[in-house]
Amino acid sequence: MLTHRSELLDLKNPRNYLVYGTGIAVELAAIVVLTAIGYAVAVIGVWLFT
Amino acid sequence: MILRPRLDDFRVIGLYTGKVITGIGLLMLVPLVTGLCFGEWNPAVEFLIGIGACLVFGLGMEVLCQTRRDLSWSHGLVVAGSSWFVATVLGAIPHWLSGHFGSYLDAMFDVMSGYTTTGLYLLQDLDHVSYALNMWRHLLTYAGGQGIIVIALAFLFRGTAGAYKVYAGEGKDERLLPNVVRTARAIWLVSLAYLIVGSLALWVVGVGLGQSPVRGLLHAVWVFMGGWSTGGFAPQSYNMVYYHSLAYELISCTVCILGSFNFALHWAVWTGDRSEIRRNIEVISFFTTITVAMLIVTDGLLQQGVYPDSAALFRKMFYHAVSGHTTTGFSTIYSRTFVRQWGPLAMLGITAAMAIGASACSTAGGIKGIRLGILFKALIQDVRRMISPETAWVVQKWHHVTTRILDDGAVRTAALIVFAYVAIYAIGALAGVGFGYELGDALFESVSTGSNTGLSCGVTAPTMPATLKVLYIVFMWCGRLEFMSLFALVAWTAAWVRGR
Repeated sequence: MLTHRSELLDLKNPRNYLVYGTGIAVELAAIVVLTAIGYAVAVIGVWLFT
Repeated sequence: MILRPRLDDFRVIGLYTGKVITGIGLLMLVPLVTGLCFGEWNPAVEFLIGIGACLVFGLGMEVLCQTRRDLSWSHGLVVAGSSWFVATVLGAIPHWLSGHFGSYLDAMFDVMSGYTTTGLYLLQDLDHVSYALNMWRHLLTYAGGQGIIVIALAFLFRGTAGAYKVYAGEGKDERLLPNVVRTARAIWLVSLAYLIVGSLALWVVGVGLGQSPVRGLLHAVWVFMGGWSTGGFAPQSYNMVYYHSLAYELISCTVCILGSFNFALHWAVWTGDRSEIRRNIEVISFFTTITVAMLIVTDGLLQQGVYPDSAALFRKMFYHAVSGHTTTGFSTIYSRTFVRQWGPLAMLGITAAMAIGASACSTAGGIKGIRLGILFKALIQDVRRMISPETAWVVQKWHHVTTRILDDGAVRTAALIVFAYVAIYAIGALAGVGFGYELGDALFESVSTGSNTGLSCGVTAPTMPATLKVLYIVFMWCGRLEFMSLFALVAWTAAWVRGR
């Protein structure tokens, strides 16, 4: 995997598209997990205090 | 003391401001082509006039202000501050010519709102706006989210040593790559990649909802631009209420969260450092404060008994907590619903979320998670220092891309910016009350403008006092550039006027 290298800006390199796709997938997965945790805490919190 | 600017200083500032405005003129080619594609001849002519004005100013400044001198820090800050103002004045030409605005001030309000990714608008009859103007509105917010200086850096500047100083003046000081021009290109790469993925997802849902493929595509691109830039502009006056779709809400919510992430975080994850997501101080701060905001809003809504079932309540609460905290401003309720149905506690929760905002060096506004995180770490450090032996050396660390040791300089900078944000929130609220609005409404709207969110409880309207419009324009400008560029611009102008 590339690390902080400007080669990632090279749109002619097909391997870079795999890197973009992987980056997007990782970020989306993280958002789903973190959002689910936040949402669950809010639901449980309200249920406990009301 | 700031020395009186010399002719050569004006040349440097004029040259780089000209480059940025040339970039704005070239950006107007997109709505021009949109207008031509859809046979909208009048809007096309309006954009031609706008392009002409920007190119005359931009290229004129580049010819008149030829200099080999590079930018200093003060030049960079002044260029950032002045470019945004000139871009607002000239960018408002197509808005004003469209006939959808009561005054040129209203047109400037909308353009500043777009660039600063605020999302409040004074445009009248939004549902009958041309495709070209709608494209321009959303492109403004998309470009403003990345930063108009970043556009110029990515496509128009050569790699001068001073380029970083203009870039930092726009409130972005992260270097994704050692070279600032490459950093700007990396920011655009991330934004364009997500533009393709996000728009495609929204387009599929839109077509599924019954939109024609072309209309669905335009809406998808515009909603993506509004969400990613955390701007909150939408092509219809009903904003997200128009779509009545859970899938559209979920995708737009995800886009808002992605847009509110620091570009350095995106770049770190894309280049293989996946642990950054759970270690980054901004991510931890964001998900902590949004959870607290969701608790407050939910409790407020439960007290009011607005929604008949918990599914509807959580859906509305979640969407607006995310929209407010990411400083996007998308909404699935009408403006006055905040006041008439949500009640003071829920409004307070949303106000607090907007005030905090999301990440630095992202498209979002507000105080920013990194500053709250640093102040919280400083508090922990002080408590640890108090309970430790006098001879103990207490070290506090924080992580943002790299792990750093907390020093007084970072705490001081964070505290100053937090103070400046709180000051404009308070001044805006006082001004609103002075013009006869309720304190809660005035505070909500003031925080919404200062944090570049764009949620409205009904104060922002074409009929609001002109002074309040000007004040809100300044707040949006201050909030987006994080004060320093504007302070530099004011100090620089004062030094020039004073003559020393």
